Amino acid sequence: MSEFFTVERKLSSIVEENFKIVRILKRFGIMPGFGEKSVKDVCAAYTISPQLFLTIANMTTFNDYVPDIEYVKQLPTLQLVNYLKASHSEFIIRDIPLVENSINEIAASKDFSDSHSSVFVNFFKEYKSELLSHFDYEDRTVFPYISSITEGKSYPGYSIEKFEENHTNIESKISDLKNILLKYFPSVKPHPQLYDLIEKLYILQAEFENHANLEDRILVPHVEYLELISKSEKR
Amino acid sequence: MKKSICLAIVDPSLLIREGLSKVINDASSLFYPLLKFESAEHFLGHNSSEGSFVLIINPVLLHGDASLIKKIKENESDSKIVALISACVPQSLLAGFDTSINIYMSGSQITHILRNIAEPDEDVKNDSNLEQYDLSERENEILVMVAKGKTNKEIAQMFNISVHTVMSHRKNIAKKTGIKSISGLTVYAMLNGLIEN
Repeated sequence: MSEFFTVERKLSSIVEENFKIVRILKRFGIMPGFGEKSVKDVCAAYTISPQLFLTIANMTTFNDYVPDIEYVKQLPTLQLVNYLKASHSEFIIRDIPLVENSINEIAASKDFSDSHSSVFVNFFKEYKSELLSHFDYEDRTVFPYISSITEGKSYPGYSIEKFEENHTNIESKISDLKNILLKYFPSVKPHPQLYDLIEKLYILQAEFENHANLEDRILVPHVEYLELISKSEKR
Repeated sequence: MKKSICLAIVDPSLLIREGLSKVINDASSLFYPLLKFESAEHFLGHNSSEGSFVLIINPVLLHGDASLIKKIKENESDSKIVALISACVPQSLLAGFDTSINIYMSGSQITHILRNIAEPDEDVKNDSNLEQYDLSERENEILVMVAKGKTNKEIAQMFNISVHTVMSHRKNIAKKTGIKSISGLTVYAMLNGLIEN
């Protein structure tokens, strides 16, 4: 079993252990320059729940990390939702356009045949609209619903179970895209942008997987618990 | 990894050489490097290559001399010879060739013929317990149907196999290619010249 991160650990040392935590810092708004401070101290300075930070950092780093359900229940709802929202806007504003630009540049290059490029560009266009509507649904429907139950408001006709049932897999197509480029896209010469794009897709695939994992394994059980208390309070 | 196959095109016409190599390149990444020669003499003068080799040659260039084909086969150990037909030729000229293509075929027809001739023992390889990397002919056929939007049931009826078999073929396709979505498989089929745009 792995040695999971604890609040006593130096923040810099856990980033050293897994560079993907840099993106977690970004979403929480933790700025670099934190010196030798521990996770606990940095979180306190930013009024972030150290439990939430650690849960996300551990899930991103260790495949065998399974958060305890009692622990998940106590996580701060609003901070969790804000973290997921920050991930969404990062995907929408930064990652997807970056991938899109680099696909368009490759498609415009004379090194690849037009018919290959257009097939590829169309595949990405379709995927992009699926991604955007996936995130849009969560931002407009799921997150407002969660906010309303924390405020004790009722939200008839919706429950987190509906989200769970319809939570589509967004990471599968990015893996398809990556495999097509890596294995089947005919190149006539080593094209630097193609390597960059493949690398970017690997990173983004891992980010999407982590994100879906957080929603399914942390958000859903957490909100199920909130629904349970809100129901019992109303009785 | 897919092993690439060396391909040589021998024809006096620059347009045919360049055009054919573009058609093949666009349809499949299987053939690499692509060599071009304007005469049989030029071709025979080049150094022979290692591994699988496909030669596409205009039969007229052999001047009815069948011993040239023999010579080529001796030079290139694992080679296949394809006649490139651009006009009517007497049947006797085609002796010794493994197969033929003509200049009025579509890109995917040409690639299909070349692929078959380059990897004829596909089905035999499937029976061995070696790990099979490339898609088998049947898997390719099923992949094309999936890309065309056919359901498992329709595919089963088409090939006279059970739905269960279709599903296990699809599982293998996803495992080998790493592609799961239907639109991803469509891209694969187009890039590999299995279907036209």
